[in-house]
Amino acid sequence: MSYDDFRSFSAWFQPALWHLLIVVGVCAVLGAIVSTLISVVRYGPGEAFYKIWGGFFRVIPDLFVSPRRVGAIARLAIQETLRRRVMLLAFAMFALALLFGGWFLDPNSDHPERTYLGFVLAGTQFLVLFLGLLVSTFSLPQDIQNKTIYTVVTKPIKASEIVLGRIVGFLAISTVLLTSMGIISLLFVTTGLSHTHAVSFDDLVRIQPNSTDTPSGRRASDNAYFELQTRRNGSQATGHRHRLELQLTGIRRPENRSAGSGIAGADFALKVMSETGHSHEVSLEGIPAEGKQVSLAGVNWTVFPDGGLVAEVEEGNFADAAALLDHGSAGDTGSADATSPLERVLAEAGAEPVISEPVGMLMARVPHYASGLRFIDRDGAVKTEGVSVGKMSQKFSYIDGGTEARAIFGFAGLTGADFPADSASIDLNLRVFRTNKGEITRRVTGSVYFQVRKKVDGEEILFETREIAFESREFAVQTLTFDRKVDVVWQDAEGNPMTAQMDLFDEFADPETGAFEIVLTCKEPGQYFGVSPLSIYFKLRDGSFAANFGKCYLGIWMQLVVVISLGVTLSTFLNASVSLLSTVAGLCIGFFGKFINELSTEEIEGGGPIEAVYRLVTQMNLTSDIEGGGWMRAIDTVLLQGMSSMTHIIPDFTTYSTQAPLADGYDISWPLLSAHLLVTFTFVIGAWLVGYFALRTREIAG
Amino acid sequence: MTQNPTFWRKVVYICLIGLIAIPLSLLGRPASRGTGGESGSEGGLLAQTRVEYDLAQSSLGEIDPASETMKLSTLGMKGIAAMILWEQANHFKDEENWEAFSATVNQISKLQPNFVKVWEFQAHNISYNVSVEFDDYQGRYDWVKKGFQFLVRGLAYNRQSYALLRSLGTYFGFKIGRSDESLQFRHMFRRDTDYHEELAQYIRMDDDVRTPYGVDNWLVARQWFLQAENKVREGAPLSTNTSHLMFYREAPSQFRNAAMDLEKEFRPQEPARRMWEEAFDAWNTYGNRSLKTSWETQLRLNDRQAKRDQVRELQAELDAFAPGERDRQVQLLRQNLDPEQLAAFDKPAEERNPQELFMAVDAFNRLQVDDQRIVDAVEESQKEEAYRVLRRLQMARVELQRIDQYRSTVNYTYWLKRCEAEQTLTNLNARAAIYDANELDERGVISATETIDPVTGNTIISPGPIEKYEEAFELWAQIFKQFPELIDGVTAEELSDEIEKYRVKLDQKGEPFPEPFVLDFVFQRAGLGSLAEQLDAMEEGIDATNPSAPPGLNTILTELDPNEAGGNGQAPQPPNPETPDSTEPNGDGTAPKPEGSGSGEATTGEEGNAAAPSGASEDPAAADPAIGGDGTGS
Repeated sequence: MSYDDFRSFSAWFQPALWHLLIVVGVCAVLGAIVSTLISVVRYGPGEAFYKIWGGFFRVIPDLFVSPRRVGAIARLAIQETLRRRVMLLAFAMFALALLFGGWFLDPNSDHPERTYLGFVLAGTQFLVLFLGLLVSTFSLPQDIQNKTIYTVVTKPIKASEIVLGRIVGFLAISTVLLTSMGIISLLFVTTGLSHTHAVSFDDLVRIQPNSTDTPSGRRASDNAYFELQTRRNGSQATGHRHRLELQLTGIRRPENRSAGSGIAGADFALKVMSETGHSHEVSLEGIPAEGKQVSLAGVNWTVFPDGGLVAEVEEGNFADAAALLDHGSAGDTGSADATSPLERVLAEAGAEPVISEPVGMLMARVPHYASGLRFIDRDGAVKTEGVSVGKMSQKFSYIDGGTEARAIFGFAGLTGADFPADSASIDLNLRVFRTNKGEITRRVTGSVYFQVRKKVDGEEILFETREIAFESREFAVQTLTFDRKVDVVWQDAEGNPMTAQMDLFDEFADPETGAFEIVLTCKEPGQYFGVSPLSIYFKLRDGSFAANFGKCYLGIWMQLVVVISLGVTLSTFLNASVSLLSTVAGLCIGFFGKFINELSTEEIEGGGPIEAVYRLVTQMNLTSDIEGGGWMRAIDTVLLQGMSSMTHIIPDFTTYSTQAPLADGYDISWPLLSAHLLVTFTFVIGAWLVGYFALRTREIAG
Repeated sequence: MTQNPTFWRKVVYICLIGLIAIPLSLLGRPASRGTGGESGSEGGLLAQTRVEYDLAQSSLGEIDPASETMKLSTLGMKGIAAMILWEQANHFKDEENWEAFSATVNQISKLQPNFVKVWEFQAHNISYNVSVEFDDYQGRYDWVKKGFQFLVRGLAYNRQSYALLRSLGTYFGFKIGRSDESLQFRHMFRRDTDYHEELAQYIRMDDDVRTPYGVDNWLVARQWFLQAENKVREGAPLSTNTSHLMFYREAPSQFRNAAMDLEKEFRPQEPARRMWEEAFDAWNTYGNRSLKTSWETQLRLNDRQAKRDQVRELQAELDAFAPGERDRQVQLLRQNLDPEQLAAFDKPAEERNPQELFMAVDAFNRLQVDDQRIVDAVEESQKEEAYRVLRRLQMARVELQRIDQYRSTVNYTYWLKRCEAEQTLTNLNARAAIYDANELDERGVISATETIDPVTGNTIISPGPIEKYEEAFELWAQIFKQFPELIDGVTAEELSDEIEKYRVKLDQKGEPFPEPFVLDFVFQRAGLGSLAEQLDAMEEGIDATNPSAPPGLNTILTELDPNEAGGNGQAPQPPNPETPDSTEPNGDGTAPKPEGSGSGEATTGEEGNAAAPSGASEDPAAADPAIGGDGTGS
């Protein structure tokens, strides 16, 4: 139930409950058998029966704990932790790591936010878990060893309250530490990634749309007519630059004239292009909110503070936007002034460009993922998987370009209320695989369209929208924005082609379920698109990054809860060092449970602990057979089965980590966290019960 | 005095610790510098070994606190940590998690900063394997550059290594200049001023790397190769599997690579011609360089003519001991030849067809008289003197053979002639005509167009692609007649593509392919290039591979007994003529062979031919899967 696998709480809950019941059942039976055997050995069969029977009836009242007494034990645990100053040490180490760690983080890497987040999260996790491990495992055994436990147990207090009080106390103090670390980490990340860029319109260069003959050498956008690069000075003396393009955003046709007779104006916008996984907003200082008008060579320009420009021709018209932009240049007027008309307009308007803080770096997109994914192969057959292109990772399944192959994402539960604006957007996260070079300078093209089957007059009819074409962007989130009112085509019962405009969510979708599908195609023969179930989703809104950061820390907190409750439980019947080692072993099982299970089921080679040691010492590879190694395998089978069964008891720590969605800019959903919380508290209850029984058997508590 | 056993136990422990400290001190005592004229101490065994093998951090390169901290924090388990990180890097690569991959590779480099192969392998991994995973060529360029930057970072930690500099030269040249996206990569590299500034911290980024079109990747590659040469000159030991022939060939080769790409990307003009001039000078200078051979002798590639003259003179000197004997022997040998073969041999060179040419060369080889027979015919009184001359002749022949072999390995003659030919105005015009024809072809023009000059009213005829191709082929015919050495090289191969385009254009226009075609003679002679050296030798009547040539030069030098001169009568086989280690990529520029991959010199059809030695690498690293691995590229 990691972020990638989790679909909904309801889908997760039932199998999880069954799993829990089985584990509890097995543990209860094993516990009963073991305790019976011990009692029989210690007291004889007759006495044992009464002991167990009596013990069972004592458990029930012991589980009704007093919050006041638990609070008192918790306070003692907090005081003890503070006295030991181990928390201060952990905090000091964290502060030092942040202080000097920043030197070695590269803010100019492809996605610096991932590096920064990885650093603070890993540091926090390590220190907090280490702290939890120390305080939870050393406390009780030392109290027992020093006999100080008797100052507590001589009071009217239950063993269950001692165990629970310690868990709560240690957790409270660790939570304070974790929260402080979280707040400092958030500040560290946001300030570390904060930057802006210097820019001057003197650097503007006229370019051709889609050309590579640009100052940066990069391909210009299809609608770009000017380019400049941000300057490297001040704090940005090294590192990345952004390209800033003047893009054509709209054409103004002459009134009462046919469309082919040229243009009477155009709308433009200044746009900062994405670099190292983020972009910036550009605004123009010195321009009033309503815009500023400048007239140049018969063209009226209006410059807006958000970087928008509108050019309107006073008389006549121009062939295209390029002609409009070049009108009034040195070539036209015979002037010696080599500056472009656009530069003169911006200078006359007194516009000074200002670049904002990064955009798109620390995000929390709230996605609505597809509820299902199916494929149509090149021959039109329905499949559950696409084509494998031979990649090691099987996360993505591919569809062939230029054929009937499709990837169809099913959506449900969306309503018009989810998209208050007139437009909606979907995000694409695709992979591309080329079997031939194709056109190197163009990315592979594809399209998406919506489809739904609805019953009309008892007959099922396929409704389809027009295609939205796009040029793929691999290893990046590509947003396609479209009007909610979509052109729909279908055939009526008589086979007549019909068209209409419908609202995608309120009219086009199935009226009962709100369901419809997004169909993805790759247009270029010989090329492939790779998709996963998360590859296409509707972006509902942008959530708060700080809140998302908090949710990620909640995952670490849950790991802490598990470690502390495990540590306290083990310390009720083991001495300090052994319980420390056992808790570390528990941590290993939590982190490497998947690996252990794969070893025990022989999905991966190498054998169990004994075989691994043998191979290490003899420098033997993983695949060679060990002659006469049957006994090793036999012992390993037992050990691995034991370890494997432990993975059913200790929660999988890797699923608590929500660093990937946080760093990738996705909101961590509450249903996922709820599932994690439920698992955690179930474990705490189990650990508490075991701790209670263990402490009671030591006969030091009442 | 207490008799407490605990006390005595502690005393024993302290004594034991003291005892252990003695060998530790002997082993680990650091070296010290002498002061005030006193000589310093060499230190313990470990310190001495460090000095002997240049293993001290300060002698290997920069000491990085982060790197040292990481190594220390592994608590002596650096090897295990490195292994886990390598596994992780592979895992992230498989998962296409490039940020995590990049971060892991950086961690590996911090753990193993002085392991040159780590830098080489991972830089190759990033530039060649990761970059191609990106669909957008701009993303590919960024990752290619990341690989370069990674390799550059390795320089600081490995100051004694010339290998990293060589790799940088190879990557800058071939990854940018010979990839599928070379046109785009070169264009982006020219505009990448920020990167040029970054590079200026390491190499000269002045006019030496610039053409009128901007900074050229090949010229930047040349700077890295020159730095590698400097490093060797400063005393960095050249690896045993690195031949001087290949090592010193790299820097001068970059001029011609730059010139060839300039001709492809821009209308061939003066800048390209000047680049060919530079290429000629550099190649000629390389030919004059004294190169250490694998026989531990020195040779110069340009010494061939002098050596031939020497052979000719010594042969005449030997023949003077038995006048007419060589002719007599030749006559005897002629009796063993087919009449057809003899007729081909006796025919004037210009009248021979390709088949006769092969036969003539074969006949020439069969008619070589064993010098020993000449000595056998010498009178006894002069025999000792004749043997002395014979020995000198044999030595000269061996040296000549080695020069020929080395020249052949790097295709020295072809490139010298090519550089010479490309400087001519005829060649420049021929290439410009091809460029124009291709441009017209791309624009979809088929025929010549006529326009009326609005001022003069005259009709202006603008030639179409067919006319331009024909103009170019006429010029090429002249060039091939002047420089026949180019016929069997890359030049003629390149032309065959243009001829195909010309043929298509004719088809489109409905015109037949001209018969006879002006370049027919070029293709009739195609395939004879392997005979170039022998044809040359035949023309001069000098053959290095005389049957009496001794088994090896060193043998001759040490054997003084005249009766044993001549050995087994076979031409000497070089003990290990060449162990090329070039990392020059394949023709597509995508996959250089990591050093020691056992593949030898990549000839790409440009350098080396059938005469080139096998060049099986003896580098033990060839067996290391981490080096050969998937790092060999896409």
